[in-house]
Amino acid sequence: MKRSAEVVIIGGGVIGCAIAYNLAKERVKVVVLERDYLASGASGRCGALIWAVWYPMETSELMAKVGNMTLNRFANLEEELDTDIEYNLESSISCIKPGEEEGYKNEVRELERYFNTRPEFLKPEEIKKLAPYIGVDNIKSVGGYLRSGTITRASANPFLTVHALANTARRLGATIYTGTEATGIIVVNGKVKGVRTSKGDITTNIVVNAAGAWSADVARLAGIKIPTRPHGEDAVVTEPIMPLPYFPSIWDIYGRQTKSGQILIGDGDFPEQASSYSTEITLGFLPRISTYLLELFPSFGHINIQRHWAGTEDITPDKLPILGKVDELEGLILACGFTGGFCISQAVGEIITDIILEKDKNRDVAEALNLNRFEKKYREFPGRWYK
Amino acid sequence: MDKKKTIVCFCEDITEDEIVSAIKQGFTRPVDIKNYLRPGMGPCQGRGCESQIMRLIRQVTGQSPEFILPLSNRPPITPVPIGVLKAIKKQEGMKR
Repeated sequence: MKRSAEVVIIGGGVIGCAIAYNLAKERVKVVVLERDYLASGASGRCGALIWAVWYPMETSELMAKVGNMTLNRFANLEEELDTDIEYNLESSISCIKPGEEEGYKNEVRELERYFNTRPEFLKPEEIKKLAPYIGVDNIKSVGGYLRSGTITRASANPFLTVHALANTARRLGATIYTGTEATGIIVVNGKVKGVRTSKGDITTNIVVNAAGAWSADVARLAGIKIPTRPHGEDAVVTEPIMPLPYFPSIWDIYGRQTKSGQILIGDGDFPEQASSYSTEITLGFLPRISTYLLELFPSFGHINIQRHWAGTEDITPDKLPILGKVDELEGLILACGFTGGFCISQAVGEIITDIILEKDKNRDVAEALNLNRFEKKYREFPGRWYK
Repeated sequence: MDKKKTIVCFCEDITEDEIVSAIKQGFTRPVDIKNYLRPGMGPCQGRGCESQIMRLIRQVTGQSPEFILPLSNRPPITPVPIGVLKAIKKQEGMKR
């Protein structure tokens, strides 16, 4: 095992591997520590959607900058890594339910303004004609937006992506240890000096916390409290069916058809889900998601659900990630708090590399998403900040 | 027997050759191989291939069998139609 490194990244998910790849490209000596196997956390359990509008919020100039960065990098990633990651531009129809018209108008405005994409409006009859399998009447759709062949709506295979990033990083000189847990962060005079692992200490001046759902625990190893918490989410996948020319999307759930033809559906919004690291599935999810599926695809009642799994993501009070340095501790860099982390992973890899190498290009993003944006109540708390 | 033609996972069409080369690349646990090549992600969830994968890992790496852990099964264990699952009534104790 290596005894010293310029940068140690804790967490071998898509974020950790993207940062490792970007740093290795700049010839930085980097070590990645993964407790389990690569993509064992949220990365390997996610929907792997790559969308432009990735947070339920109004897109600002800054978010659009991050969004465009990640979309463009993903579009070129296969070529860059010289590996197939099943990157796929999706054709989708966003079906508008009554009462959602305003929200969709905003989304379309943002897509036009920031992402240079103009979705095509379809009347309900036109949707029926293009995709007769969509339950337009069931969901009382008042129309939809068609997007096809644009990088603002794409997907990839998360395992292949993580392994491709990790393998390329290795080729460029990075070292990745799986089955190796970070058990402590050595701090001397307010500066990071090294990492304790289950297989010995590594001396380093910079530690990146990319531990996903476990980020608060890793930050605590250095005596820093950060307001992130684990949040469970479920998803299901059906048996393979013939390729659907247009995949319908509604606001309640997210989904896509995989390359093998399976329909992957998940529900991104469960406020009632308890905060826990458990990746046990939730029993009531199957009937609930089946109801949604049948509403959306009325003729799919005979199609089998094949697997149901759950994962934990990392959320912050404002649902935005925490990126960059920590004021109280020199050498600790945060790259955590992601909901939809796969989607923006490629931008994060670049932003964190710029922060470590002290380049100016993405300083505005790093400043806006720094830990110091949170009020004191989220920083100084006994135990946990959440219930 | 030609290892290039010996199918280990019938659901996802994966040959012995592919699995052995994945093990040699460092994917030395059943779960690693499942994520990398997808055996055990099909409708049978590894009923057909799991023990074969464990045997191949033992043969290639020489690991003791008690350290080669089986795959985790995902509900609903065996494929169930969407229409049937929809009909499950919400019961007390279910989270949602």
